[in-house]
Amino acid sequence: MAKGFEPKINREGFIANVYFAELVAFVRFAIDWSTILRDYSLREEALKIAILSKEKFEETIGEKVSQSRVVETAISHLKTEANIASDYLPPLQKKQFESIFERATEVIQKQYNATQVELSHLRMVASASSLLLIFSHEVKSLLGVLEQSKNSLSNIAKNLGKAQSDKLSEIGDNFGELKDRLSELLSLTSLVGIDNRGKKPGQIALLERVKKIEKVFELIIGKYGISIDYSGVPNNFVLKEILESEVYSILLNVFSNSIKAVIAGGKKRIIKIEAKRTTETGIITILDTGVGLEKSRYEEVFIPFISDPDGSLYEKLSKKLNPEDNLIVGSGSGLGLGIAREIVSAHSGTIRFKAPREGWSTELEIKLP
Amino acid sequence: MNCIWIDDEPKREIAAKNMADSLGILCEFINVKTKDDYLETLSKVKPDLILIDQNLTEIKTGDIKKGSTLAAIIREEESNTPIVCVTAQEIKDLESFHQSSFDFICSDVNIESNYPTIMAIAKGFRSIRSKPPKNSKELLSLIEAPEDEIYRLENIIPHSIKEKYNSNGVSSLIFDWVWNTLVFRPGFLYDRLWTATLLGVNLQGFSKIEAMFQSAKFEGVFSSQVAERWWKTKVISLLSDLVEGTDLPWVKGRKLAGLSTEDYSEDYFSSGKDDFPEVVAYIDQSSDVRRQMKLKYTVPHPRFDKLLYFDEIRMMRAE
Repeated sequence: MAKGFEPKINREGFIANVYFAELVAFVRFAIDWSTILRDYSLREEALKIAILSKEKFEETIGEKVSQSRVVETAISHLKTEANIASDYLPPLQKKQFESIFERATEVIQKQYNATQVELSHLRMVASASSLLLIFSHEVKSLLGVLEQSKNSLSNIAKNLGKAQSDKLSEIGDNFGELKDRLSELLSLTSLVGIDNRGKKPGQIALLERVKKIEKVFELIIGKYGISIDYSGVPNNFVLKEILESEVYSILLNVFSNSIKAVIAGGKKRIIKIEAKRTTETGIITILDTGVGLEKSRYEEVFIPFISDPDGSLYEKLSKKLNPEDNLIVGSGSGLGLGIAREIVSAHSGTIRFKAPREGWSTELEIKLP
Repeated sequence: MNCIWIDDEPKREIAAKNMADSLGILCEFINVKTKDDYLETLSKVKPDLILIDQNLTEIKTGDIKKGSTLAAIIREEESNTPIVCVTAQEIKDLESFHQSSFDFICSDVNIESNYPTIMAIAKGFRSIRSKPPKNSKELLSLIEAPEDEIYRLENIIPHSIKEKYNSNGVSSLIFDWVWNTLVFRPGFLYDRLWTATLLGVNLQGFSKIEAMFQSAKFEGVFSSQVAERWWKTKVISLLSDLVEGTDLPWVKGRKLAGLSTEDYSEDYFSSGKDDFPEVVAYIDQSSDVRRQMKLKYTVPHPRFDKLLYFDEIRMMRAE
């Protein structure tokens, strides 16, 4: 072993000396470079090329162009030049040229606009994820305070008269319930969060997970009179070789869609989940009485960022939803069903919408081994 | 009884006061963010219990930044005083070598539910300190083991304990064995759900007949209300006195007075189609949810090893 690299450990962990510190710095640099920094340098390179081409373009047209209008300005100049050039063509070819040119510039502009919208959406989703992690950490530290406030109240209550003691105990109980509910929600955050990476896939019983999801949405379900029927999920329905977090991810995304659909939809607000097993496959079906989905949209809704293909869901939802609930179910990232499909596909399964049976608006079928 | 709470978070002083008020004990809070002679205080007070926060990042003096290190230092002087860790961190996230410095770890989020256990630990250590067991027989007498379990229990007492009778530090070893093996693993002691299953009833049914089995309750050293247990052999023996004839305990249990069919245990796997579930099993390997099941519908739980004389911990099998 090279001198200086003798590992030493005390109760608080590894004792680093200057040699190990240098080794750590080197390894970290290598990893950073090969992952994050490599991506960063690729992005920087692409940006440099884009800036260079913009400068050349500005030089050619003899004017400065704002960064946010580069594509529009380029297309506009292209149109002017193309019009001049097309005047030299015979009438039939000119017409053909103008038609192709029109369509081509339109497709460039539209694709560019779509990419911009997607990018801004991605930024929003990325910042929301970081916020969620910060939020869950902060809330966790407040839970201890909540526990002590509850305990203090209960100790004060012991020295008061019955009426006041009962009142104080009631407040303490409310604190306790709030703490338990927050703990439960946070436990789910850590389940679907990054802490979960070390876990191994295994058997997951579905029914208890559905019950937990019902608890997550408890407030919204109660407020809007939504009933979740899981009587069709047998106790012994078990998914194999899957992570618990993956099952929760699928259920969270699928149920949040159904909840939005039934709030926006008709008078009956019912979501039903069934599960059965054939020899090789587990089949989970989620039915709801919501706004429904056009057959032509069955595939489109799995495409990332398409949360509401015909635009009717959120329009109807905004009319029925209390403003304070907007944050919970009012907007969609358009990623949910895509994520669910990614997970299901990774396990050689399928997820698809099918023509709903009588009495239901939507029927989603998930097949997993 | 007096205890000391060592922390670098002044807000926890309220937690210490609440615990002292609830348990009727004295609790001195040492804020190591401002106080640097805490070890001196410890040696003067000679507490029955020490509570320490795991993350002492704000500590005023020295290089110690972890409660587990402080616990190790205290252990050198006070090896028969229980040390409990109170942490805001997820317990599963603590490194095992940090965990091993403490006798018990609890989250500050639900400390109240751990009061009975903390008290049981303090009382248990005090009882061992006042009359340390000189041999296995005396240890088994401390846990009030039934006569007909003495032989098997003697065989499974860890060597680490047998080698340290009458020595410093034996209290921690005894607590670890009683709490993490004898109480946690079903076999000699059964929890409420296991005892109900043994008697062929559900939890509601067991609450109706519980009083008949009061004398089977584990009340030995370190017994706690939050981890109530019943000696299996005592339950079976009492059942024989209460119900005549020879039959399986779950069949005989249902013949006890005051029970109706709605109190009977149900096999979770078949949703009650099969009768007389014999075991308690986890619903899968990730969940903490346990249900009454027929043995044939369960498989060994991959997370738990087999232990001599103890029941196997099982989980529901995939269909």
